[in-house]
Amino acid sequence: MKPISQPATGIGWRAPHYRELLRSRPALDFLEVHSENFFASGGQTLDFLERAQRLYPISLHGVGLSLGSADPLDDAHMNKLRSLIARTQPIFVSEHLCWGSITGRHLNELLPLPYTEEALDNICVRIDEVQDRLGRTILLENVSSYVRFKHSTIAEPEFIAQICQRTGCDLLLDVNNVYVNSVNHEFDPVAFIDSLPTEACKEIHLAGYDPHEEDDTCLIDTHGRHVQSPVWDLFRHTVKRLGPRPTLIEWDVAIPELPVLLNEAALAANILSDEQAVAA
Amino acid sequence: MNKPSLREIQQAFASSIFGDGGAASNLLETHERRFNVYRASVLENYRQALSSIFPVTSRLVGEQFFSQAATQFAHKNESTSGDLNQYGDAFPSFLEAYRPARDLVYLPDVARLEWLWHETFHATDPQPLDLETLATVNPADYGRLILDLQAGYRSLHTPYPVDRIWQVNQPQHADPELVHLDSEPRWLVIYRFDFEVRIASVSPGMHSLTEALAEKRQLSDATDDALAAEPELDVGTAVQWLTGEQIISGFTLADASPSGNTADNTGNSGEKHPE
Repeated sequence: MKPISQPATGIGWRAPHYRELLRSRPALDFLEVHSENFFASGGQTLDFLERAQRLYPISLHGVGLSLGSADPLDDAHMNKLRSLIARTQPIFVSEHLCWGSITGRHLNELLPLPYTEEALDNICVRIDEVQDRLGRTILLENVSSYVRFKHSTIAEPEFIAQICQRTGCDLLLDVNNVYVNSVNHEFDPVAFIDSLPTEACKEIHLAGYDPHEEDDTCLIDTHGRHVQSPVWDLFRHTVKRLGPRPTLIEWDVAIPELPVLLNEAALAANILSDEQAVAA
Repeated sequence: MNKPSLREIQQAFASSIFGDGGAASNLLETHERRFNVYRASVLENYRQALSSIFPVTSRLVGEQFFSQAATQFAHKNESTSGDLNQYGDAFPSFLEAYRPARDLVYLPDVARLEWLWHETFHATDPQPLDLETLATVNPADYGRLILDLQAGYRSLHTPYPVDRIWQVNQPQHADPELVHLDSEPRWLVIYRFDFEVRIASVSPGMHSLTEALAEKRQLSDATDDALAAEPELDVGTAVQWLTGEQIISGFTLADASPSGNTADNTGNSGEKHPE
Protein backbone atom coordinates (compact mmCIF):
# COMPACT_ATOMS: atom_id res chain seq x y z
CA MET A 1 0.00 0.00 0.00
CA LYS A 2 1.35 3.44 -0.90
CA PRO A 3 0.88 5.80 2.08
CA ILE A 4 -1.13 8.97 1.59
CA SER A 5 0.41 12.37 2.20
CA GLN A 6 -1.41 15.22 3.96
CA PRO A 7 -3.19 17.37 2.93
CA ALA A 8 -4.23 15.09 0.10
CA THR A 9 -6.31 15.54 -3.01
CA GLY A 10 -7.35 13.00 -5.61
CA ILE A 11 -9.80 12.33 -8.40
CA GLY A 12 -12.37 9.66 -9.15
CA TRP A 13 -10.64 7.67 -11.90
CA ARG A 14 -13.06 6.68 -14.68
CA ALA A 15 -12.75 4.75 -17.94
CA PRO A 16 -12.13 7.73 -20.30
CA HIS A 17 -8.95 8.54 -18.35
CA TYR A 18 -7.56 5.06 -17.63
CA ARG A 19 -4.91 5.17 -20.34
CA GLU A 20 -4.13 8.86 -20.21
CA LEU A 21 -3.52 8.96 -16.48
CA LEU A 22 -1.17 5.98 -16.62
CA ARG A 23 0.72 7.70 -19.42
CA SER A 24 0.90 11.23 -18.01
CA ARG A 25 1.12 10.30 -14.29
CA PRO A 26 -0.14 13.64 -12.96
CA ALA A 27 0.77 14.72 -9.43
CA LEU A 28 -2.14 13.46 -7.31
CA ASP A 29 -2.09 12.18 -3.75
CA PHE A 30 -4.56 9.35 -4.37
CA LEU A 31 -7.01 7.85 -6.84
CA GLU A 32 -10.46 6.53 -6.13
CA VAL A 33 -12.32 4.01 -8.27
CA HIS A 34 -15.74 2.41 -8.16
CA SER A 35 -15.09 -1.05 -6.76
CA GLU A 36 -17.65 -2.74 -9.03
CA ASN A 37 -15.83 -1.56 -12.17
CA PHE A 38 -13.00 -3.91 -11.19
CA PHE A 39 -14.94 -7.00 -10.14
CA ALA A 40 -13.82 -8.90 -13.26
CA SER A 41 -11.58 -11.93 -12.82
CA GLY A 42 -9.08 -10.59 -15.36
CA GLY A 43 -8.62 -8.37 -18.38
CA GLN A 44 -7.30 -4.97 -19.27
CA THR A 45 -9.37 -2.91 -16.84
CA LEU A 46 -8.01 -4.79 -13.87
CA ASP A 47 -4.51 -4.49 -15.28
CA PHE A 48 -4.95 -0.69 -15.47
CA LEU A 49 -5.82 -0.64 -11.77
CA GLU A 50 -2.87 -2.81 -10.83
CA ARG A 51 -0.57 -0.48 -12.74
CA ALA A 52 -2.14 2.59 -11.10
CA GLN A 53 -1.68 0.98 -7.72
CA ARG A 54 2.09 1.09 -8.19
CA LEU A 55 1.87 4.86 -8.79
CA TYR A 56 -0.80 6.09 -6.37
CA PRO A 57 -2.54 5.12 -3.15
CA ILE A 58 -5.91 3.64 -4.20
CA SER A 59 -9.28 4.11 -2.53
CA LEU A 60 -12.11 1.65 -3.32
CA HIS A 61 -15.54 3.25 -3.41
CA GLY A 62 -18.49 0.85 -3.69
CA VAL A 63 -21.85 1.73 -5.19
CA GLY A 64 -23.62 -1.64 -5.20
CA LEU A 65 -23.48 -3.27 -1.78
CA SER A 66 -26.94 -1.98 -0.77
CA LEU A 67 -25.93 -1.65 2.87
CA GLY A 68 -29.28 -0.31 4.07
CA SER A 69 -31.45 -3.00 2.46
CA ALA A 70 -33.70 -5.30 4.48
CA ASP A 71 -32.23 -8.13 2.36
CA PRO A 72 -29.23 -10.10 3.60
CA LEU A 73 -25.80 -9.09 2.28
CA ASP A 74 -24.98 -10.43 -1.19
CA ASP A 75 -22.28 -13.09 -0.67
CA ALA A 76 -21.03 -13.00 -4.25
CA HIS A 77 -20.63 -9.22 -4.06
CA MET A 78 -18.82 -9.44 -0.73
CA ASN A 79 -16.44 -12.09 -2.05
CA LYS A 80 -15.55 -10.03 -5.09
CA LEU A 81 -14.96 -6.98 -2.92
CA ARG A 82 -12.76 -9.02 -0.62
CA SER A 83 -10.57 -10.31 -3.41
CA LEU A 84 -10.31 -6.83 -4.95
CA ILE A 85 -9.15 -5.48 -1.58
CA ALA A 86 -6.54 -8.24 -1.36
CA ARG A 87 -5.39 -7.38 -4.87
CA THR A 88 -5.21 -3.59 -4.55
CA GLN A 89 -4.39 -2.95 -0.85
CA PRO A 90 -6.54 0.20 -0.77
CA ILE A 91 -6.06 3.04 1.72
CA PHE A 92 -9.87 3.36 2.07
CA VAL A 93 -12.84 1.11 1.42
CA SER A 94 -16.08 3.06 1.34
CA GLU A 95 -19.78 2.51 0.65
CA HIS A 96 -22.96 4.57 0.86
CA LEU A 97 -25.56 5.24 3.50
CA CYS A 98 -28.32 3.97 1.25
CA TRP A 99 -30.05 0.93 -0.15
CA GLY A 100 -30.25 -0.25 -3.77
CA SER A 101 -31.94 -3.64 -3.77
CA ILE A 102 -34.87 -5.43 -2.18
CA THR A 103 -36.12 -9.00 -2.47
CA GLY A 104 -33.18 -9.75 -4.75
CA ARG A 105 -34.10 -7.04 -7.25
CA HIS A 106 -31.38 -4.43 -7.79
CA LEU A 107 -32.30 -0.88 -8.73
CA ASN A 108 -28.60 -0.02 -9.04
CA GLU A 109 -29.13 3.43 -7.58
CA LEU A 110 -28.21 5.10 -4.28
CA LEU A 111 -31.65 5.23 -2.69
CA PRO A 112 -32.32 7.11 0.56
CA LEU A 113 -33.34 5.33 3.75
CA PRO A 114 -36.23 6.18 6.02
CA TYR A 115 -34.50 7.37 9.19
CA THR A 116 -36.21 5.03 11.65
CA GLU A 117 -34.92 2.97 14.58
CA GLU A 118 -35.47 -0.17 12.51
CA ALA A 119 -33.44 1.14 9.57
CA LEU A 120 -30.70 2.25 11.97
CA ASP A 121 -30.50 -1.15 13.70
CA ASN A 122 -30.57 -2.88 10.33
CA ILE A 123 -27.72 -0.93 8.76
CA CYS A 124 -25.59 -1.16 11.92
CA VAL A 125 -25.87 -4.98 11.97
CA ARG A 126 -24.90 -5.12 8.34
CA ILE A 127 -21.96 -2.71 8.67
CA ASP A 128 -20.72 -4.84 11.58
CA GLU A 129 -20.95 -7.89 9.34
CA VAL A 130 -19.14 -6.17 6.45
CA GLN A 131 -16.35 -4.93 8.70
CA ASP A 132 -15.99 -8.41 10.24
CA ARG A 133 -15.87 -10.12 6.88
CA LEU A 134 -13.46 -7.61 5.36
CA GLY A 135 -11.36 -7.42 8.52
CA ARG A 136 -11.20 -3.62 8.32
CA THR A 137 -13.08 -0.42 9.05
CA ILE A 138 -15.12 0.99 6.19
CA LEU A 139 -16.08 4.58 5.43
CA LEU A 140 -19.74 5.41 4.99
CA GLU A 141 -20.80 8.23 2.64
CA ASN A 142 -23.88 10.41 3.14
CA VAL A 143 -25.97 10.42 -0.07
CA SER A 144 -27.97 13.11 -1.81
CA SER A 145 -31.74 12.66 -1.77
CA TYR A 146 -34.84 14.07 -3.41
CA VAL A 147 -37.58 12.62 -1.21
CA ARG A 148 -38.39 12.44 2.51
CA PHE A 149 -40.16 9.55 4.18
CA LYS A 150 -43.19 10.28 6.38
CA HIS A 151 -42.03 7.71 8.89
CA SER A 152 -38.55 9.12 9.54
CA THR A 153 -38.06 9.91 13.22
CA ILE A 154 -34.32 10.62 13.41
CA ALA A 155 -32.49 13.60 11.92
CA GLU A 156 -29.83 12.59 9.37
CA PRO A 157 -26.75 13.87 11.29
CA GLU A 158 -27.95 11.99 14.36
CA PHE A 159 -28.55 8.86 12.26
CA ILE A 160 -24.99 9.11 10.91
CA ALA A 161 -23.48 9.78 14.34
CA GLN A 162 -25.31 6.75 15.77
CA ILE A 163 -23.97 4.49 13.02
CA CYS A 164 -20.39 5.68 13.52
CA GLN A 165 -20.68 5.28 17.27
CA ARG A 166 -22.27 1.83 17.22
CA THR A 167 -20.20 0.22 14.45
CA GLY A 168 -16.93 2.13 14.69
CA CYS A 169 -17.14 2.85 10.95
CA ASP A 170 -15.73 6.11 9.60
CA LEU A 171 -17.42 8.84 7.61
CA LEU A 172 -16.85 9.87 4.03
CA LEU A 173 -18.38 13.33 4.05
CA ASP A 174 -19.76 14.34 0.66
CA VAL A 175 -20.01 18.11 0.97
CA ASN A 176 -21.87 18.43 -2.32
CA ASN A 177 -24.51 15.96 -1.09
CA VAL A 178 -24.98 17.97 2.11
CA TYR A 179 -25.47 21.13 0.07
CA VAL A 180 -27.85 19.47 -2.42
CA ASN A 181 -29.92 18.04 0.44
CA SER A 182 -29.96 21.37 2.28
CA VAL A 183 -31.70 22.90 -0.74
CA ASN A 184 -33.94 19.89 -1.42
CA HIS A 185 -35.02 19.54 2.20
CA GLU A 186 -34.59 23.13 3.40
CA PHE A 187 -32.08 22.90 6.22
CA ASP A 188 -28.92 24.78 7.17
CA PRO A 189 -25.92 22.95 5.67
CA VAL A 190 -23.44 24.58 8.07
CA ALA A 191 -25.41 23.40 11.10
CA PHE A 192 -25.57 19.94 9.51
CA ILE A 193 -21.79 19.79 9.07
CA ASP A 194 -21.26 21.11 12.59
CA SER A 195 -23.36 18.35 14.12
CA LEU A 196 -21.42 15.49 12.49
CA PRO A 197 -18.88 13.44 14.47
CA THR A 198 -15.60 15.27 13.74
CA GLU A 199 -13.19 12.43 14.53
CA ALA A 200 -14.96 9.88 12.31
CA CYS A 201 -14.59 11.92 9.13
CA LYS A 202 -11.68 10.46 7.16
CA GLU A 203 -12.38 11.67 3.62
CA ILE A 204 -14.28 14.40 1.78
CA HIS A 205 -16.01 14.23 -1.61
CA LEU A 206 -16.71 17.20 -3.90
CA ALA A 207 -18.70 17.18 -7.13
CA GLY A 208 -21.00 19.29 -9.29
CA TYR A 209 -24.81 19.45 -9.15
CA ASP A 210 -27.40 20.65 -11.65
CA PRO A 211 -30.76 22.34 -11.09
CA HIS A 212 -33.87 20.21 -11.63
CA GLU A 213 -35.33 21.29 -14.97
CA GLU A 214 -38.93 21.58 -13.75
CA ASP A 215 -38.54 22.19 -10.03
CA ASP A 216 -36.60 25.20 -8.79
CA THR A 217 -36.66 23.90 -5.22
CA CYS A 218 -34.62 20.87 -6.24
CA LEU A 219 -30.96 20.25 -7.09
CA ILE A 220 -29.79 17.03 -8.77
CA ASP A 221 -26.50 15.46 -7.75
CA THR A 222 -25.32 14.82 -11.31
CA HIS A 223 -21.53 14.72 -10.92
CA GLY A 224 -21.71 16.31 -14.33
CA ARG A 225 -19.97 19.68 -13.98
CA HIS A 226 -17.60 21.87 -11.96
CA VAL A 227 -17.92 22.06 -8.20
CA GLN A 228 -20.33 24.96 -7.67
CA SER A 229 -19.42 27.97 -5.56
CA PRO A 230 -21.81 27.31 -2.60
CA VAL A 231 -20.14 23.90 -2.31
CA TRP A 232 -16.65 25.44 -2.30
CA ASP A 233 -17.83 27.74 0.50
CA LEU A 234 -19.22 24.83 2.48
CA PHE A 235 -16.01 22.89 1.85
CA ARG A 236 -13.97 25.76 3.27
CA HIS A 237 -16.14 25.78 6.35
CA THR A 238 -15.83 21.99 6.66
CA VAL A 239 -12.04 22.11 6.49
CA LYS A 240 -11.99 24.89 9.11
CA ARG A 241 -14.04 22.74 11.41
CA LEU A 242 -12.51 19.30 10.79
CA GLY A 243 -9.01 20.19 9.69
CA PRO A 244 -7.71 19.01 6.33
CA ARG A 245 -8.96 15.63 5.16
CA PRO A 246 -8.12 13.69 1.97
CA THR A 247 -10.41 15.31 -0.60
CA LEU A 248 -11.66 13.83 -3.84
CA ILE A 249 -13.16 15.35 -6.99
CA GLU A 250 -15.89 13.21 -8.59
CA TRP A 251 -17.07 13.69 -12.16
CA ASP A 252 -19.14 10.88 -13.70
CA VAL A 253 -21.33 12.33 -16.43
CA ALA A 254 -20.06 14.31 -19.44
CA ILE A 255 -16.57 13.63 -18.16
CA PRO A 256 -14.20 16.41 -19.32
CA GLU A 257 -10.54 16.24 -20.30
CA LEU A 258 -8.22 15.10 -17.54
CA PRO A 259 -6.63 18.57 -16.98
CA VAL A 260 -10.07 19.94 -16.04
CA LEU A 261 -10.32 17.38 -13.25
CA LEU A 262 -6.76 18.05 -12.15
CA ASN A 263 -7.54 21.74 -11.96
CA GLU A 264 -10.54 21.06 -9.70
CA ALA A 265 -8.28 18.96 -7.47
CA ALA A 266 -5.76 21.83 -7.40
CA LEU A 267 -8.49 24.25 -6.26
CA ALA A 268 -9.35 21.86 -3.43
CA ALA A 269 -5.66 21.55 -2.54
CA ASN A 270 -5.38 25.36 -2.28
CA ILE A 271 -8.23 25.51 0.19
CA LEU A 272 -6.79 22.64 2.22
CA SER A 273 -3.38 24.30 2.51
CA ASP A 274 -4.88 27.76 3.20
CA GLU A 275 -6.79 26.33 6.12
CA GLN A 276 -3.81 24.35 7.29
CA ALA A 277 -1.68 27.52 7.25
CA VAL A 278 -4.31 29.36 9.27
CA ALA A 279 -4.45 26.54 11.81
CA ALA A 280 -0.64 26.40 12.14
CA MET B 1 -50.07 2.26 5.87
CA ASN B 2 -49.53 2.32 9.63
CA LYS B 3 -45.85 2.21 10.58
CA PRO B 4 -44.67 0.03 7.71
CA SER B 5 -41.55 -2.08 8.14
CA LEU B 6 -38.29 -1.22 6.39
CA ARG B 7 -38.89 -4.13 4.01
CA GLU B 8 -42.40 -2.89 3.19
CA ILE B 9 -41.12 0.62 2.54
CA GLN B 10 -38.36 -0.63 0.26
CA GLN B 11 -40.67 -2.99 -1.62
CA ALA B 12 -43.24 -0.24 -2.18
CA PHE B 13 -40.50 2.15 -3.34
CA ALA B 14 -39.07 -0.42 -5.76
CA SER B 15 -42.40 -1.40 -7.29
CA SER B 16 -43.30 2.26 -7.73
CA ILE B 17 -40.13 2.82 -9.73
CA PHE B 18 -41.53 0.46 -12.36
CA GLY B 19 -45.23 1.04 -11.72
CA ASP B 20 -47.51 4.03 -11.24
CA GLY B 21 -45.91 5.41 -8.11
CA GLY B 22 -49.05 5.07 -5.99
CA ALA B 23 -47.48 2.80 -3.40
CA ALA B 24 -44.52 5.05 -2.71
CA SER B 25 -46.53 8.27 -2.58
CA ASN B 26 -48.21 7.00 0.62
CA LEU B 27 -44.79 6.80 2.20
CA LEU B 28 -43.36 10.12 1.10
CA GLU B 29 -44.02 13.64 2.25
CA THR B 30 -42.40 15.10 -0.85
CA HIS B 31 -44.02 15.81 -4.21
CA GLU B 32 -44.38 13.01 -6.78
CA ARG B 33 -42.07 15.09 -9.03
CA ARG B 34 -39.24 14.34 -6.61
CA PHE B 35 -39.88 10.60 -6.76
CA ASN B 36 -39.73 10.81 -10.54
CA VAL B 37 -36.06 11.82 -10.25
CA TYR B 38 -35.39 8.25 -9.05
CA ARG B 39 -37.64 6.72 -11.67
CA ALA B 40 -35.65 8.47 -14.38
CA SER B 41 -32.24 7.76 -12.91
CA VAL B 42 -32.84 4.05 -12.32
CA LEU B 43 -33.93 3.56 -15.92
CA GLU B 44 -31.10 5.75 -17.16
CA ASN B 45 -28.57 3.62 -15.27
CA TYR B 46 -29.92 0.44 -16.88
CA ARG B 47 -29.96 2.08 -20.30
CA GLN B 48 -26.39 3.26 -19.94
CA ALA B 49 -25.22 -0.15 -18.76
CA LEU B 50 -26.83 -1.80 -21.80
CA SER B 51 -25.55 0.77 -24.24
CA SER B 52 -21.99 0.35 -23.00
CA ILE B 53 -22.19 -3.45 -23.35
CA PHE B 54 -24.06 -3.35 -26.69
CA PRO B 55 -22.57 -0.36 -28.57
CA VAL B 56 -22.85 -1.92 -32.05
CA THR B 57 -26.45 -2.99 -31.50
CA SER B 58 -27.16 0.56 -30.38
CA ARG B 59 -25.40 2.03 -33.38
CA LEU B 60 -27.31 -0.23 -35.79
CA VAL B 61 -30.74 0.83 -34.54
CA GLY B 62 -29.95 4.37 -33.43
CA GLU B 63 -29.90 5.83 -29.95
CA GLN B 64 -33.62 6.51 -29.65
CA PHE B 65 -34.73 3.07 -30.78
CA PHE B 66 -32.14 1.48 -28.51
CA SER B 67 -33.29 3.58 -25.59
CA GLN B 68 -36.89 2.43 -26.01
CA ALA B 69 -35.85 -1.21 -26.31
CA ALA B 70 -33.65 -0.88 -23.22
CA THR B 71 -36.49 0.66 -21.21
CA GLN B 72 -38.88 -2.14 -22.21
CA PHE B 73 -36.22 -4.69 -21.37
CA ALA B 74 -35.60 -3.13 -17.95
CA HIS B 75 -39.28 -3.35 -17.05
CA LYS B 76 -39.31 -7.08 -17.80
CA ASN B 77 -35.85 -8.11 -16.67
CA GLU B 78 -34.73 -7.51 -13.10
CA SER B 79 -31.15 -6.67 -12.38
CA THR B 80 -29.92 -9.26 -9.89
CA SER B 81 -26.53 -7.79 -9.02
CA GLY B 82 -25.17 -4.61 -7.51
CA ASP B 83 -22.67 -4.70 -10.36
CA LEU B 84 -24.26 -3.40 -13.58
CA ASN B 85 -21.61 -5.18 -15.65
CA GLN B 86 -23.67 -8.31 -14.93
CA TYR B 87 -26.83 -6.82 -16.45
CA GLY B 88 -28.00 -7.68 -19.95
CA ASP B 89 -27.31 -11.36 -20.65
CA ALA B 90 -30.98 -11.78 -21.58
CA PHE B 91 -31.01 -8.72 -23.86
CA PRO B 92 -30.24 -10.67 -27.10
CA SER B 93 -33.19 -13.06 -26.52
CA PHE B 94 -35.36 -10.08 -25.65
CA LEU B 95 -34.48 -8.51 -29.02
CA GLU B 96 -35.52 -11.72 -30.76
CA ALA B 97 -39.06 -11.28 -29.45
CA TYR B 98 -39.09 -7.47 -29.71
CA ARG B 99 -41.57 -6.71 -32.46
CA PRO B 100 -40.22 -3.30 -33.55
CA ALA B 101 -36.91 -5.04 -34.38
CA ARG B 102 -38.37 -8.08 -36.13
CA ASP B 103 -37.15 -7.03 -39.60
CA LEU B 104 -33.58 -6.80 -38.35
CA VAL B 105 -33.12 -10.57 -38.34
CA TYR B 106 -29.40 -10.37 -37.61
CA LEU B 107 -29.77 -8.02 -34.62
CA PRO B 108 -30.14 -10.66 -31.84
CA ASP B 109 -26.97 -12.41 -33.00
CA VAL B 110 -25.06 -9.12 -33.14
CA ALA B 111 -26.17 -8.57 -29.54
CA ARG B 112 -25.16 -12.16 -28.65
CA LEU B 113 -21.71 -11.51 -30.07
CA GLU B 114 -21.42 -8.30 -28.03
CA TRP B 115 -22.42 -10.05 -24.80
CA LEU B 116 -19.84 -12.79 -25.43
CA TRP B 117 -17.24 -10.10 -26.23
CA HIS B 118 -18.08 -8.45 -22.90
CA GLU B 119 -17.67 -11.75 -20.99
CA THR B 120 -14.40 -12.52 -22.74
CA PHE B 121 -13.02 -9.02 -22.14
CA HIS B 122 -13.43 -9.47 -18.37
CA ALA B 123 -12.41 -13.14 -18.20
CA THR B 124 -9.39 -14.48 -16.34
CA ASP B 125 -6.23 -13.70 -18.33
CA PRO B 126 -5.13 -16.48 -20.71
CA GLN B 127 -2.00 -18.36 -19.74
CA PRO B 128 0.24 -19.41 -22.62
CA LEU B 129 0.63 -23.18 -23.02
CA ASP B 130 3.78 -24.54 -21.40
CA LEU B 131 5.40 -25.99 -24.52
CA GLU B 132 8.42 -27.33 -22.63
CA THR B 133 6.29 -29.56 -20.48
CA LEU B 134 4.21 -30.55 -23.46
CA ALA B 135 7.42 -31.66 -25.18
CA THR B 136 7.91 -34.25 -22.45
CA VAL B 137 4.68 -36.02 -23.45
CA ASN B 138 5.32 -39.13 -25.53
CA PRO B 139 3.76 -38.55 -28.98
CA ALA B 140 2.16 -41.97 -28.58
CA ASP B 141 0.07 -40.43 -25.77
CA TYR B 142 -1.16 -37.35 -27.69
CA GLY B 143 -4.57 -38.92 -28.15
CA ARG B 144 -4.99 -38.89 -24.38
CA LEU B 145 -4.25 -35.18 -24.05
CA ILE B 146 -7.02 -33.11 -22.53
CA LEU B 147 -6.33 -29.57 -23.73
CA ASP B 148 -7.64 -26.77 -21.50
CA LEU B 149 -9.09 -23.73 -23.21
CA GLN B 150 -8.67 -20.23 -21.79
CA ALA B 151 -11.44 -18.94 -19.51
CA GLY B 152 -12.47 -16.33 -22.09
CA TYR B 153 -13.22 -18.82 -24.88
CA ARG B 154 -16.77 -18.50 -26.23
CA SER B 155 -18.39 -19.64 -29.47
CA LEU B 156 -21.36 -18.60 -31.56
CA HIS B 157 -23.04 -20.31 -34.51
CA THR B 158 -24.97 -17.83 -36.59
CA PRO B 159 -26.65 -17.75 -40.00
CA TYR B 160 -25.56 -14.09 -40.41
CA PRO B 161 -22.16 -12.46 -40.97
CA VAL B 162 -22.35 -10.73 -37.59
CA ASP B 163 -18.57 -10.69 -37.22
CA ARG B 164 -18.37 -8.48 -40.33
CA ILE B 165 -21.25 -6.34 -39.11
CA TRP B 166 -19.47 -5.95 -35.78
CA GLN B 167 -16.20 -5.06 -37.47
CA VAL B 168 -17.50 -2.37 -39.81
CA ASN B 169 -19.33 -0.74 -36.90
CA GLN B 170 -16.27 -0.28 -34.74
CA PRO B 171 -15.44 3.39 -34.06
CA GLN B 172 -12.00 3.03 -35.67
CA HIS B 173 -13.40 1.50 -38.86
CA ALA B 174 -12.86 4.15 -41.50
CA ASP B 175 -15.34 3.73 -44.32
CA PRO B 176 -18.91 2.56 -44.37
CA GLU B 177 -19.13 -0.81 -46.00
CA LEU B 178 -21.94 -2.95 -47.30
CA VAL B 179 -22.25 -6.34 -45.62
CA HIS B 180 -24.24 -8.90 -47.60
CA LEU B 181 -26.57 -10.94 -45.45
CA ASP B 182 -26.72 -13.83 -47.90
CA SER B 183 -23.22 -15.04 -47.14
CA GLU B 184 -22.63 -18.44 -45.56
CA PRO B 185 -23.60 -19.31 -42.00
CA ARG B 186 -20.60 -19.20 -39.74
CA TRP B 187 -18.98 -20.51 -36.62
CA LEU B 188 -17.36 -17.78 -34.59
CA VAL B 189 -14.90 -18.20 -31.76
CA ILE B 190 -14.38 -15.32 -29.35
CA TYR B 191 -11.26 -15.36 -27.22
CA ARG B 192 -8.55 -13.25 -25.63
CA PHE B 193 -5.04 -12.73 -26.95
CA ASP B 194 -3.37 -11.07 -23.98
CA PHE B 195 -5.85 -8.25 -23.25
CA GLU B 196 -7.22 -8.04 -26.77
CA VAL B 197 -10.55 -9.72 -27.57
CA ARG B 198 -10.38 -11.52 -30.92
CA ILE B 199 -13.24 -12.82 -33.00
CA ALA B 200 -12.41 -15.48 -35.60
CA SER B 201 -14.63 -17.12 -38.15
CA VAL B 202 -13.57 -20.79 -38.24
CA SER B 203 -14.26 -23.85 -40.38
CA PRO B 204 -16.84 -26.44 -39.27
CA GLY B 205 -14.04 -28.87 -38.35
CA MET B 206 -12.21 -26.29 -36.25
CA HIS B 207 -15.47 -25.44 -34.54
CA SER B 208 -16.16 -29.11 -33.70
CA LEU B 209 -12.61 -29.49 -32.43
CA THR B 210 -12.74 -26.51 -30.07
CA GLU B 211 -16.22 -27.39 -28.82
CA ALA B 212 -15.04 -30.93 -28.02
CA LEU B 213 -12.00 -29.51 -26.24
CA ALA B 214 -14.21 -27.07 -24.34
CA GLU B 215 -16.16 -30.11 -23.12
CA LYS B 216 -12.86 -31.51 -21.78
CA ARG B 217 -12.87 -34.45 -24.17
CA GLN B 218 -9.53 -36.01 -24.96
CA LEU B 219 -7.74 -35.11 -28.17
CA SER B 220 -8.46 -38.42 -29.94
CA ASP B 221 -12.20 -37.97 -29.45
CA ALA B 222 -12.05 -34.28 -30.35
CA THR B 223 -10.15 -35.26 -33.51
CA ASP B 224 -12.86 -37.77 -34.42
CA ASP B 225 -15.50 -35.06 -34.07
CA ALA B 226 -13.49 -32.57 -36.10
CA LEU B 227 -12.84 -34.98 -38.96
CA ALA B 228 -16.45 -36.08 -39.02
CA ALA B 229 -17.43 -32.45 -39.54
CA GLU B 230 -14.62 -31.71 -41.99
CA PRO B 231 -12.67 -34.74 -43.32
CA GLU B 232 -9.94 -32.61 -44.93
CA LEU B 233 -9.09 -30.71 -41.71
CA ASP B 234 -5.42 -30.83 -40.73
CA VAL B 235 -5.83 -31.32 -36.98
CA GLY B 236 -2.12 -30.77 -36.26
CA THR B 237 -2.21 -27.33 -37.85
CA ALA B 238 -5.50 -26.58 -36.12
CA VAL B 239 -4.03 -27.37 -32.70
CA GLN B 240 -1.00 -25.24 -33.53
CA TRP B 241 -3.23 -22.31 -34.39
CA LEU B 242 -5.24 -22.72 -31.18
CA THR B 243 -1.98 -22.76 -29.21
CA GLY B 244 -0.50 -19.75 -31.01
CA GLU B 245 -3.69 -17.77 -30.38
CA GLN B 246 -3.49 -18.62 -26.64
CA ILE B 247 -6.84 -20.43 -26.86
CA ILE B 248 -5.23 -23.64 -25.58
CA SER B 249 -3.77 -22.70 -22.23
CA GLY B 250 -2.84 -25.98 -20.55
CA PHE B 251 -3.19 -29.73 -20.67
CA THR B 252 -3.55 -32.89 -18.67
CA LEU B 253 -3.28 -36.52 -19.73
CA ALA B 254 -6.36 -38.71 -19.46
CA ASP B 255 -5.90 -42.06 -17.74
CA ALA B 256 -5.05 -44.81 -20.21
CA SER B 257 -8.16 -46.68 -19.17
CA PRO B 258 -9.27 -49.70 -21.18
CA SER B 259 -12.67 -48.14 -21.84
CA GLY B 260 -11.19 -45.13 -23.64
CA ASN B 261 -10.04 -46.45 -27.02
CA THR B 262 -6.85 -44.46 -26.97
CA ALA B 263 -4.35 -47.30 -27.18
CA ASP B 264 -4.57 -47.48 -30.95
CA ASN B 265 -4.18 -43.76 -31.51
CA THR B 266 -0.47 -43.24 -31.96
CA GLY B 267 -0.45 -40.02 -33.92
CA ASN B 268 -1.47 -36.45 -33.33
CA SER B 269 -3.20 -35.72 -36.57
CA GLY B 270 -5.72 -38.50 -36.95
CA GLU B 271 -4.08 -40.25 -39.89
CA LYS B 272 -5.77 -43.43 -38.79
CA HIS B 273 -9.18 -42.00 -39.11
CA PRO B 274 -11.15 -43.73 -41.87
CA GLU B 275 -11.87 -41.51 -44.82
